[in-house]
This record gives sequence, C-alpha cells and structure tokens, in this order.
Amino acid sequence: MSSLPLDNNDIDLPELEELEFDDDDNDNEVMIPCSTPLPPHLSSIVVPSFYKYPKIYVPPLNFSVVEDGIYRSGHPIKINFDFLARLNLQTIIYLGDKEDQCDYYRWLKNQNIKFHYIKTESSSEPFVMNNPDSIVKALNLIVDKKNFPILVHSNKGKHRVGVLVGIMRKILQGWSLSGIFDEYVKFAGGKGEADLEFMELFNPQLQLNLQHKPEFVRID
Amino acid sequence: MSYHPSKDISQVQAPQIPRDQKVNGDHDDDHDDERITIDEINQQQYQTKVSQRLSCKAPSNIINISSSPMQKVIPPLNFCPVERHLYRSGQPTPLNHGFLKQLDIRNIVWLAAEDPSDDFLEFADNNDIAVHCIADMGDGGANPWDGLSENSITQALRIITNKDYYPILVCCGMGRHRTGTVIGCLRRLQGWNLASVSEEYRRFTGSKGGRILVELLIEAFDMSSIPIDESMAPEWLLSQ
Repeated sequence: MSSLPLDNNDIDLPELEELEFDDDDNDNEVMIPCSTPLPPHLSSIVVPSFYKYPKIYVPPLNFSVVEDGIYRSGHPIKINFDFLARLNLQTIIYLGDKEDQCDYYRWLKNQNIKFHYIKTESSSEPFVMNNPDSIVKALNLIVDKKNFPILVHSNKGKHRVGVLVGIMRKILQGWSLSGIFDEYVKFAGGKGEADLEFMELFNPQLQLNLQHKPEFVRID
Repeated sequence: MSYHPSKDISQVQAPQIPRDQKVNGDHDDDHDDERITIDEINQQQYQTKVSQRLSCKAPSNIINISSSPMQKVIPPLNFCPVERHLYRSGQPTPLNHGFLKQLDIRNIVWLAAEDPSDDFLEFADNNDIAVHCIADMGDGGANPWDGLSENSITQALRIITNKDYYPILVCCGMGRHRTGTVIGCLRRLQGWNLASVSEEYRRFTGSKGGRILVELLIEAFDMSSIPIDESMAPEWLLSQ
C-alpha cells in the first residue's frame, strides 16, 4: 500500500476516499500508508520488528542436539516450523511410516530441504525387531558432511531415533555402552529394553568418504 | 577393529576373465581394451564391471567401517551437547578424561556449591582449561540443595553468551538441577516455549523428577538481565 502513487493522476482518488469513510473501524490502517508512505526499502517488511521480540519458538518433541550439525526430534508439526527454519537444515531424515502430513511436506518443499523418507515400522518387542536396513541407510547419510545440518526424526523422537543415535555413538564415536544406554533411556523414558539389545548386537557395514567425514567420527 | 582400505574392494570386484580366453595372451591387467574383443563377454556387463571397479578405486579415501573403534570413550554422567561447542554434564571422573579431551574444551562453568574434585581440577589444569566456580559459597545458608541465585545465573550466562569462551562445558555435581537451571534460562534467551524448556530440564533429572523451584527460577528469569552483544554472541544465538 505504501507504494501507491498517490500524486499520480491515473489513480481514481475519489474511490480511495470512499474506502476510507466506509471503514471507520480500520481508520488507522488506511490512514497510515496514505499520510506517511513507507520508504520503498521497508515496504517488504510484513511484521514490524518490535512485534517480533516476544516471539516464541517451539522445538519439536524430544528435540536435542546430537552432535555439531546433527539434531534429533519427534515428528515436526505446524507449530515447530519457525523453530526449525532457524536451524538452516539441509537434510531431514524421517524414520517412520506416517504419510499424511501434508502441511509438513509443503513446508519442506518451500524450505528447499532434502527429505529422506526411510520407511520404518515401529518395533513391537520382542517380535518385530528394528529394521537394520533403515539404520544403515540413515547412517550412510550421517557420515557425509555434505548433508549437514541434518535433522533425524521419528514420530515421538524416542525409540527409532534413539536406536539410530545409539548405533552412531557406538560405531562412529566409540562410546561405552553404558553411556549409550543412559542417553537412550533419557529420551525413551522407560520402555525399549529390546532396543538396548539391538544397539549392543548390531554392527552395520558402512562406507565413508574421508573427504566428507564429520569431525565427530573417529577412525582409530 | 577392521577397516578395509578401498584396495581390497577393488580387487574383489575387478572383472575376472579366465586367462585362457585372452586374445594375444597378454597377461598385463592394465590393458583392459584388449579384453573387449572376446565374444563370450557381454559388452554391457563388462563396461559396468569396469566402472564399478573404477568407482571403488578412484577415490582412495573411501573406507569401510564394520565395527566400533577399539578404544572406548566414556561420556560423563548426564552428558549432552546443548548447542555447537556447548556441552552439559555432571562432575566428570578420571574415567571420562579421554572423552573430554576429544571435545577440546576451553572453559568449564562449575555450578555446584562444593569445590570440584581434585582429579577434575588437575585434569583442567593439565589441559589448559579455565574453571569458573560461579555458585555463591559460604555465604550464609548456601546449601547444596538450594537453588542458584539470580546473580550466579547471570554470571554463568554472561560466559555462555560470549563466543570467546567456547568450547564450554557447563556442569555441577550430578548435572541435573543447577546445570538444568542455567541451560533452561539459556533456552528462554533463545526464545523456546516454557513447556519445551521444562521437558528438556526433566530429561536430565533422573527418577526423582524435576524440582518446582528450578522450573520457577527458569520461568521467572528476567531475559533483559542478559544484554546480548551481537559481536560477541555465538552464531546460533543470533539466528533468532
């Protein structure tokens, strides 16, 4: 509105005045741009900066930093988008099987984030075990720095992501199992005993390019 | 531990052609073009095999990983990365020294009312790490179970919001309540909603759960008491 060429004769001025009188309640909204047009470089700002100050950012459930450039969480929903946008993510890995989150997919597209959907069913102990293929696929993305920053999420950010992070701690970083279990339980909160066994016993085959090796990966 | 250098793969996947079928009887493996004349070999199949071998051979910096590193590292109690080069934990023991060395920590913010253990101080000394003891000690009624004073929280956050101090480890005895208070206030500075801040705090409080007093301190934290200097703040704090 600020860029309205008011002194231009082509514009139908009477109509504009009519508009002003019709909207008595919104007097200010109409008056401000007419009386004091914003300079052109400010006209693109939608929200005045003083409104931004108390803005609240909502991380997804169980959000945490895993390593420099790797984040973990539950499934993002609409209220988390502003928070996630600040992370400047390049890649998102989804370990799960929910396929109806259209708002989310639209947001991903707008943000230009590479989205890797690795279909993984929730394990139901002790009959349905974790899917080793999913874990290997995800790990192969994690060992490549070109994909960073990465967010790995499942639905609640507890079990599937917990197992992935656990295997990563073991194979790539050489953490002691006690430390891995402690971290897993912090996020899983109670359930998931079979996952601990899986993390202990599973040894995936990974291929890693030294040129794109993240700093936290230990090769010794 | 078994990391296979890429050469091993290339040897396994190289096209294997019976020697007696070779034209000219040339046994030099490098003369690949001479093998193409052999009728029995499907041209296409051969090409893919060559390209497979090349893709394994060319970038010699590709390695295979099939087991964890031999030397294990042990993270301290309640350890977790908070943001880039900012970590939290309980009081490390000598078991954790190997782990901590990898993090290349420069400053430690110590929040417990008691002094850190001699082991820990010695470790810091040997590795050129400055220890900042921040809690009010000995000033009447400072019990280990008392919460942090507002002054201590401010002091800790002044260090955390200054990138010159990084990498930083924030810790107290167990890495639960005092560390949780400071990290919680930091999250408020980052604009997190209170429910998520509490969720994170409780994640580290163990089976006894969170303390209302700590959550109250975080909720009542006055963000304007920490002026953020844009030229000094770490990057992740500025992308608000």
